[in-house]
Amino acid sequence: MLGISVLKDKCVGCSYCLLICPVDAIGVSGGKAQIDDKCILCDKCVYVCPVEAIERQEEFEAL
Amino acid sequence: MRHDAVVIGSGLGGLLGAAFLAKRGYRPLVLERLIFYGGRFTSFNYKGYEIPTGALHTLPGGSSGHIAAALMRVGVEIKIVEPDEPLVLYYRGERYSLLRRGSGRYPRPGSFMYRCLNPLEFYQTVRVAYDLLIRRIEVPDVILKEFCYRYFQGSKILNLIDKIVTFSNGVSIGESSATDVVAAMLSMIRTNHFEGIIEGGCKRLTQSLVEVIKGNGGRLRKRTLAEKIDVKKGKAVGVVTRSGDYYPAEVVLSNAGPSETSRLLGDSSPSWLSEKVVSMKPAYGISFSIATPRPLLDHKGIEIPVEAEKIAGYIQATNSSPSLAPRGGHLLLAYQRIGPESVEREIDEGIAELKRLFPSVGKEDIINVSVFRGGWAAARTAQSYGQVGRNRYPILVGEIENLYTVSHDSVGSGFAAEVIGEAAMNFDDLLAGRPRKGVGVGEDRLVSQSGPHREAAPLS
Repeated sequence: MLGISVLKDKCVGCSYCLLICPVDAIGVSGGKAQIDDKCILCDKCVYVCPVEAIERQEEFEAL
Repeated sequence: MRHDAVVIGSGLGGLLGAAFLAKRGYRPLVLERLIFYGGRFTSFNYKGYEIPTGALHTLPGGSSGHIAAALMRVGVEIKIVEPDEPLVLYYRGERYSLLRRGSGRYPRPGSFMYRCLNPLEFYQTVRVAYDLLIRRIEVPDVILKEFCYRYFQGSKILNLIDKIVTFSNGVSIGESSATDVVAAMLSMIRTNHFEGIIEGGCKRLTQSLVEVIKGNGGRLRKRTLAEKIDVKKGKAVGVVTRSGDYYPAEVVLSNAGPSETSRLLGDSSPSWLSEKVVSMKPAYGISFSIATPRPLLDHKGIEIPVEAEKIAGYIQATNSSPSLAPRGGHLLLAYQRIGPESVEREIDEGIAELKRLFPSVGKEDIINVSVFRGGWAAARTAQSYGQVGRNRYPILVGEIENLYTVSHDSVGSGFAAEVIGEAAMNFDDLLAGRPRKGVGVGEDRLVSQSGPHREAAPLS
């Protein structure tokens, strides 16, 4: 959603992304993260994820 | 600035290793792929609470453990709070203190034995105490579960030991070495030193190490992924990053774990290391953070719910270090070991059990649930039956000169983080005796340390 997405297969549920998100846009339920539309594309979750399960989609990188 | 040592990974081991390198006159460069230092030994501040990334703000060996000794050697001063009642058992609504220092409020272990154990369990306990403390039998090199079966088959003590080991180590008795764990436990009992809570939590400890590294000529780089360890003629000579930078090094400390190290070595990876990776059994677990306005426990120690099915143990870390929560808040950390099965169900069962243990806790009080599995396991262990005590991932990666590791799996399986502290000090001893380019052997700062490393020898 909004350019940042969670790869559910890779996500282990460590919740680091939820803890670091500055706008509370991430919820973790059942051991998987989910990003909602409060996301401001700050990318913090992308680089805090220890298993590379959060991606910024390419179309948005061009903006 | 030219670096002469490269450390891959900024977890507890990487930071300790880099601090030792810096103190020994190297200029280490620490490469961290994520945007924070400390790996599974730090915390994120969330709503004012310090939510751990792994280790529950606790050092299993307290102020007399390997980590404390290593910190003293590098000159990091950290306050470690040691509870009067380090281990409290919760059984049928009553609390019992299993180990005690100073004045405690709960009944002593004798009371637990008389009131809670059946005659068989009582006999089993006396027998194991006699064998270990009086006869001082040699503990065989088998998995801990097998050793415990000999004494406690069919009794609740087996479950109790499993919980204690799981809480302290992240791995169950089926994944621990009997020799190592029993030795660690006996040493704690004999010295009357148990776990300690780090004031300010894991983050304060790792931040202090970062300061030592920076203050002694080292540097750290976040968001930098190591791509390859450059090996020439059997010697590690540098590290290449994913962005293509090349850092030549006299010493490479790979603290990324066996499988990542094997990947970084590529064709140079020794065959035993690749085999090791295949045989590794990572330990999975869940940690729960519970935030409440009133304390849930009135002691500082680890509490083991003897009859619980899922929760191995918990600790109210704010009873020792109030700064881990906002003013007036309390933080209880619980750990649950899980298998590879349905995580969703495990989480629900863990939460249901926590609510039974603490009826005043509502769903909203559980402010965080962290699952450790897959590529981000609670602990990496390469131990399985028949392997304990042998083929450990050695501190010096065998055939490859100048390549070292101090990660969790690099030595025995004593007690979680303490193993890293022990490995780091062994690494420091190797550095002390290591000839250096341009530095004469026997020079003052290369203080030689030999023999057991239990006593801290601070560096100047």
